[in-house]
Amino acid sequence: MELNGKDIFGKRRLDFMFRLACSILGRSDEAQDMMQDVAERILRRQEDLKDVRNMDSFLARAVRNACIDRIRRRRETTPKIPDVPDDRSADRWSDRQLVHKALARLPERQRLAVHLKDIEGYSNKELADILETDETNVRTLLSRGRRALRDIIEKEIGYGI
Amino acid sequence: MEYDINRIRTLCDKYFDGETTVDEEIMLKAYFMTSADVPSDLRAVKAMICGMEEASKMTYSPAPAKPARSFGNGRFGRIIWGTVAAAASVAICISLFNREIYGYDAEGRVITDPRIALESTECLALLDKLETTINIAELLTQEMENNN
Repeated sequence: MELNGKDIFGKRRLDFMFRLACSILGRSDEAQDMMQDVAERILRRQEDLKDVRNMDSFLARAVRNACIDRIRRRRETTPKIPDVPDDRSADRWSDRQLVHKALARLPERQRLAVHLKDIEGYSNKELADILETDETNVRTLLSRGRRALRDIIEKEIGYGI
Repeated sequence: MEYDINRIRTLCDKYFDGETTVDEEIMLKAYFMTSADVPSDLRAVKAMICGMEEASKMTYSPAPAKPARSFGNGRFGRIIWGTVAAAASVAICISLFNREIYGYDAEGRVITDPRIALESTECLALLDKLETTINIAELLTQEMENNN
């Protein structure tokens, strides 16, 4: 099977899955590498796709699960992953890399809320649907996620309020 | 475009409370994307908003598939195909003349008798050893002459 814009996902959804994988894993090269795994997993369950009510939500969950497996494997093979790098390498990162690395450290639901709202441009109502919650909770998740993201970035680049 | 920094700060507060409208978020984005210098307390917010804008433009492009390895190309392939062709020629000859070929004599004639083929091979091996010994003897002689 080859992943391209003509398959069942469509180009828009492939891009959506790829960006989400970048935010969860914090690295675009790893996300790129993982896309084939995700697509194969979904296609193995192609029968279930008929019953999917919200495709974006379904795909987000599939990407999340595949990413979690990947992170688990990474932990098994990497002796130690420091939460905050010791060196001040943040000044060499682009803003995008900085955001991805910071997003990867957020709690899962906050990360998903911030990603879907600020990177994908979903409305609060759509977010509530995908996250299976109400709009008040979406605002809370967004608020906590954005503040945490700003704090991590401030710490990384060394600028503070 | 001139921005009122107090207005931007108010919008930032709303943004971090998760209370901004779509229009307010567009205005915040426009400010941070177009302002090279922002107050130091907003630099992390600028990095965050610009970084998310960059991230939103990322697209997935599958890594190009590796070309399939072919026996037909490259040195290894040529050797393989050369060997296959030689073996095929021998097989065709055998099937055409319906006789076993065990080797070739010094004149290049086919040897169909296994006993003669074995003797011929042993003979060639002995000749090869003899030639090597003669070569070594010649080299040693030359070396001695040079030393004298």
